[in-house]
Amino acid sequence: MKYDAIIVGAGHNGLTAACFMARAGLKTLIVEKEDHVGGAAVSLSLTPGWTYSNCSYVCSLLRPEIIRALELPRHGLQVIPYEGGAVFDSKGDYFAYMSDHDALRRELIRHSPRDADGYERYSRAVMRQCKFIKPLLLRTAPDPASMKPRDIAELLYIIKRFHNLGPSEMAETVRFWTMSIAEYLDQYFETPMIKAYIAGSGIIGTGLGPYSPGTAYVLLHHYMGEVDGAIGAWGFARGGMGSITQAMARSFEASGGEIRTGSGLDHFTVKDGKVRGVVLENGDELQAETIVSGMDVRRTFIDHTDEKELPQDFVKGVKRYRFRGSSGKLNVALDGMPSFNGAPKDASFLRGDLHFLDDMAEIERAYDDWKDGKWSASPYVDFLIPTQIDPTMAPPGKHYATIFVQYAPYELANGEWDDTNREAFAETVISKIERHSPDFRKLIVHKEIRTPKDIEDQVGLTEGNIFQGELTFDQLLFNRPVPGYAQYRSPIKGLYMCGSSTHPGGGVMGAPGANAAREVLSDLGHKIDMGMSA
Amino acid sequence: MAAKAKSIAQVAMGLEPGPFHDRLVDQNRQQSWVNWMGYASPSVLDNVEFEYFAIRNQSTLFDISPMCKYAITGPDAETVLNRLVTRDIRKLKPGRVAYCIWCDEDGNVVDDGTVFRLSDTEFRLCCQEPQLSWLEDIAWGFDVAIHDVTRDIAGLALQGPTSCALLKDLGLASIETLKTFGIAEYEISGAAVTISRTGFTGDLGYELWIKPADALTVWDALMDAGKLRGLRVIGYEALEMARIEAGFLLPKIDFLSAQTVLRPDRANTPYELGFEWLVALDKPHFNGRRALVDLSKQTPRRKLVAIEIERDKPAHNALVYHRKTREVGQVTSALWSPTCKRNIAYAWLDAPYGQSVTDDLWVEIYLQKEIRWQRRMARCQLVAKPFFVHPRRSATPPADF
Amino acid sequence: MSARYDAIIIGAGHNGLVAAAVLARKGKTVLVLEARDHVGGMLGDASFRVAPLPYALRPEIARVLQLDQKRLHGAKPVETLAFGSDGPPLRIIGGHVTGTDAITEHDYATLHARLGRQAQALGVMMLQSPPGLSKASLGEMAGLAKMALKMRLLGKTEMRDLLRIILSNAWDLLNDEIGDGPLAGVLAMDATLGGAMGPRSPGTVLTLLYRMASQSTHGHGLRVMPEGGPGALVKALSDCVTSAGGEIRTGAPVAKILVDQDKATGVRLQSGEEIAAATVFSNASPKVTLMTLLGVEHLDGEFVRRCRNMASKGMVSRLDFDVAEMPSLTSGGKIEHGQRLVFAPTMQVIETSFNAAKYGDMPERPVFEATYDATAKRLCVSAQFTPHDLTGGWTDEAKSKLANSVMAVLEEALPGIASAVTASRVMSPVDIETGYGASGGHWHHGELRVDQLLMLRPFDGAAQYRMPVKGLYLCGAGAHPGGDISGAPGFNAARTALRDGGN
Repeated sequence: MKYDAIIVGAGHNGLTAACFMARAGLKTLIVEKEDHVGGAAVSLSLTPGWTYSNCSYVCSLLRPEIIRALELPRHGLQVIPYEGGAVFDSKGDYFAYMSDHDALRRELIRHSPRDADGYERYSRAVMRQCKFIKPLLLRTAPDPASMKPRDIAELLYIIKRFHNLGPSEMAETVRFWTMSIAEYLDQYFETPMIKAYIAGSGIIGTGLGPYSPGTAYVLLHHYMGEVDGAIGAWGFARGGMGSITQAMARSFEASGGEIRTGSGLDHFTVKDGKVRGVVLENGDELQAETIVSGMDVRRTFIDHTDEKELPQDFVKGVKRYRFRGSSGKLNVALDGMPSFNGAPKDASFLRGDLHFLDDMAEIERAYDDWKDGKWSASPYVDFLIPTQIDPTMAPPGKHYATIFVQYAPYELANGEWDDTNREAFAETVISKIERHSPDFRKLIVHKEIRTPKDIEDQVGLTEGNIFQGELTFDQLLFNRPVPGYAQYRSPIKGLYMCGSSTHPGGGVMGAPGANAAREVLSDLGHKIDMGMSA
Repeated sequence: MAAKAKSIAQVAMGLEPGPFHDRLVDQNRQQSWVNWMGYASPSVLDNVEFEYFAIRNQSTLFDISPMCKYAITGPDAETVLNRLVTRDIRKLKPGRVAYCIWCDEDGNVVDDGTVFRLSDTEFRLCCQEPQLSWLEDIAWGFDVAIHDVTRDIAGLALQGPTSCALLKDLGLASIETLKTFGIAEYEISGAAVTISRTGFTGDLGYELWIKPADALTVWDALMDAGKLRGLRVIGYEALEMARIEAGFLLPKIDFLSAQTVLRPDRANTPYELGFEWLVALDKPHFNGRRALVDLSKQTPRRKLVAIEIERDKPAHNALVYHRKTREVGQVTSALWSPTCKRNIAYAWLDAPYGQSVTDDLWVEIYLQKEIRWQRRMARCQLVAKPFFVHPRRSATPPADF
Repeated sequence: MSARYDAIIIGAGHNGLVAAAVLARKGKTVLVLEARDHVGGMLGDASFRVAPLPYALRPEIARVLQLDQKRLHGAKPVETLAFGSDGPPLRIIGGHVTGTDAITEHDYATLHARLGRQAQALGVMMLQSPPGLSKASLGEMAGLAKMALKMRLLGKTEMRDLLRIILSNAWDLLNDEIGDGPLAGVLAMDATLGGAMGPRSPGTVLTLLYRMASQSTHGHGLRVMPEGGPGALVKALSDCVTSAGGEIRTGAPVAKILVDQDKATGVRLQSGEEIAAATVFSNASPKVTLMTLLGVEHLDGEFVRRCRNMASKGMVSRLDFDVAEMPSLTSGGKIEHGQRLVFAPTMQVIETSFNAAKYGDMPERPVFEATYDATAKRLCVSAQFTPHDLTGGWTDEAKSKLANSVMAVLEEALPGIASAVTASRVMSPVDIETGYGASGGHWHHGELRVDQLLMLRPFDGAAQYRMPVKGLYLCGAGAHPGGDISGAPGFNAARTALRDGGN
């Protein structure tokens, strides 16, 4: 069989790239190893009556341009916003993040009038950074070592934008991109719980603690939605995260694309430095001169490509590329709605992200455990009960909790991720939650435990890194995944990358897929109009 | 396991009732409210025109409790205030109020407000935007205490020609001797009330500062005495008309605080706002002084000006053109002034317009006539602020009506 | 009052002396005021030195001041002994290591050379005034352009590599290139000593490159032991000042910088004496200079906030152990005068000791470097990750606990040293703060981090040596390019002032 283009992996980025390519009129095929599409954005039922968002669990950064261009709402995607969020401390108090600005202000004042004021300053500072960075997400990162006119023009564009910020804002930008989240927040807040609530988002999925320089910029995630002007950018996908990829798959098929599930890749066929097709695990050979890999960079080039076809420095760069998964997850079916110490039963902030923390040092200590190859004794937990808002994921009156756990190492210093350790890991998490939600344990009907090892084995994310590789500066922008190969192209002609291993990185954002599609289409001489204006 | 903690009530969503809310609810026949710093503030109670004319003709009550209020006290209080604002606060005597602005290090205006000097070492600052962190930054290193007293002090604006008479009726001895920008202490129905002869209407008027617990007592006493003086409760919209006539600028409408802008070029200097008379460059160092010294020597890149427009259609949100073609600015506040019978507005004009070029300026007004929109170019010219002035505003003692 | 001096320099640290020397040699009348009774600042005197084993003064500065570089850099390069968890220490001079396998030797030499090249490219900026953020002068931009060009000249591969690692951490770089162990421990110590970051903290490659950019006659990235000890360097610098007609007064602590009409007009000493000058230079840390000596009343609120927020948490304690007789190494042989001993067996150990310091606790096992002064029979130890904000405070107990844990590590390598100690002394970061006008007791007057470098050093609005009050200059380690004994801040500050004065 011959196709114009084959996409390997039906994750959200593979699907996004595929949609744009099919829309451009290419005969496009997606091959997917699992028997379902979705990659890490899936909804699966593991116990009758319940649907879990097994991996990713929040629809935060999916670019509105992509939702619009791929007509995802028409294909069934619906995003429901969070109503708030909260952090519970060990003294029985909580800080509630309220989506209502005035209520939030009063809640901040309840803890500290100074922080209420600080929050306004902080929000504006982050918003200003969002405004600066937002247009860069859907652009290909320039190669500063290149002399190509396009790279130089792009570099000048960024420099000009930067310079337009004015002196104090330029300084603020440098601070924002290089400081630790802890120090950044110390500039604005005094209440430990408030800082801990905000800081949490800075370390999700990373191999860094809140005290590590370079963590502040992740705060962008909090505000990017507001800058998009799309209310509910932080929200649940109705029916779980699988709804996103299901909608993408339908959009793709509506454009004439073809998907083969249960078709794992064996290797890429390469001849004369050009990609010619793929050979599947079942022996099928498929031909295409354009192949886009949604897999991470190590899987693509070390596991599925003949190393001889690749330049040495590239192979070295790929092998050096760091994954180091740091997150685990529990999916829990609950017999009813748990209660939380201190919180009124029907509090609106429970319909958001819940955390159990005293201060940022607690997160940092959790990180210290991970560095030593242990799961955190007191982990950072991102706990959500989407069934309060989404009626499709559990039987009436029952609930589903998605519990993201930071930090858990891919390799344990003492032992393996066997069943004993997996259970002990889950027990650590459950007993932490139980301290703040006394009835939580007895409500558990079923649970799914996912360690970084499980995430690797079941989803194909190397070392369980949810972002397909760490989001540190040496692996961002023109460095992602490998310096000199940060523009979606690989050393093999016709073979492209579109996974989160590429700029701008992980999260269910779709930007790498869209950017990769744009590069592919421009190489193929298509007029580039993807219905997106940055 | 931690002991089961007591449930803490969730803070309420939406708008918060202020100290006069119980009475305002009774009066608010339009049931229309606006959000003022999270408080429910009436926009119109029954009829905006009658409310407006009451300001110019009788007396009016407006709840100003949502204003941000800060107590600044201590041995260095004067130094800190002088460091904060651009005016020379050393010249402000105890018992007096001054309208002030303050700037950031780049010389852009952070906010405006009134500084009350209660004694040598006690000040109160009233303003629109929260300023706690700003004040603490300015005060760092000085012997001074700063408290947010917004919720500890309720405020009422009693404005209009009969306001002095009304207060006299309540037995406030020698209130008529209180000069403009003066402060005095009184009692109304046994409640302590601080009264300042200040306001936002450009007319005779007072602002009353009360403990929230006494708020309703004082309200009732005023309303009772007001029966003879035509007292009317008013909402934001009527006040807005009066403030435009009176020549006052409103943050968030006419200009943005340098602290709140997202785009760096949106902040404004005192010279752009026409506030040069509030800047005392010759006093000791104050925030933004070095930048202001430089700015004072330059031509402002734009200017906020008062304009008068031909005919009678208010130029809300209008763009301003030179020779009907070149876009040179835009209107921020506009009003057909019922008292002056003039079509007035404030507008931002980019240099040199409004400075060296002042003729052949036009505003583009959109008029809706039976659901059809019409575009009209109307000639405008620069005029002096304020549009409305009346001698009774500053006459001491004021007449009874 | 009429100006008696063209310039007053507050603080006779090496940067103050360099600034004074540059000015005096240009014919300016210069007075250096030093609070202590001796010159030299952190280089100290015979009784105590914060920096017993300095990095080299920038060669360009030595040239301009006509100092004898050969003597100042010592007859031979300083050798580093890297102690692992067991076995004889590795011996390192520059890119040359002995005591390990051939592959590691080679990898290390390659890495050292590569980092050296990359550091030199960045080092172009060391003697340039950083460009302003709003209106950079042509000359300032030329400095940046020169650096960009130098980076390009590294070649595509090496430039890309530099851009990849520049904001990264020493941990990953060193694990990739040479693996963890005492050798990586030494480089990680270079990257972290004096700062508040562990090897895993992003930004530590930059601090490593900063150290690699130092230049002596023996090569780059090396400490130097001047002939005659650090005192010789102090003497050379102060002689340079006085021979050019400059005056130095010790025991003359400054209380206040005097300001009139928004211009610095001189200083008032703690004794009450007022001395007039056309310009004032401060070698004290930015916080001390601006908030104590100048006074916040002359500064804008946002400026003061940035100054307060400047990261300057000191982590190094200095311990001196006077020994009757230096014992032999466990592995045989003796410690030689001026050798540098590094006790950081792995990066993991450094990171673990940093863990405690993050929370204000004393690490169980400190990592440290030491140098032996054979003349004074003194072992000078710089112990890392002993936080300025120690929980419970720097009591005598805390100090002796630190001394004991350092001694326990030393005892493993030098059995019998504990009983040979005749006297000891512990200077905590708090002591260093109070003794040397260095906020937080920080060696560099402020953390060397991307957000506090170049046009952001010490913080935006205060970069480029000129302070908001006219005629006041910052010339200490808090200014660009930063700390260690490069002399560059003092040199650049003086040249900036000379340009302002129309010279």
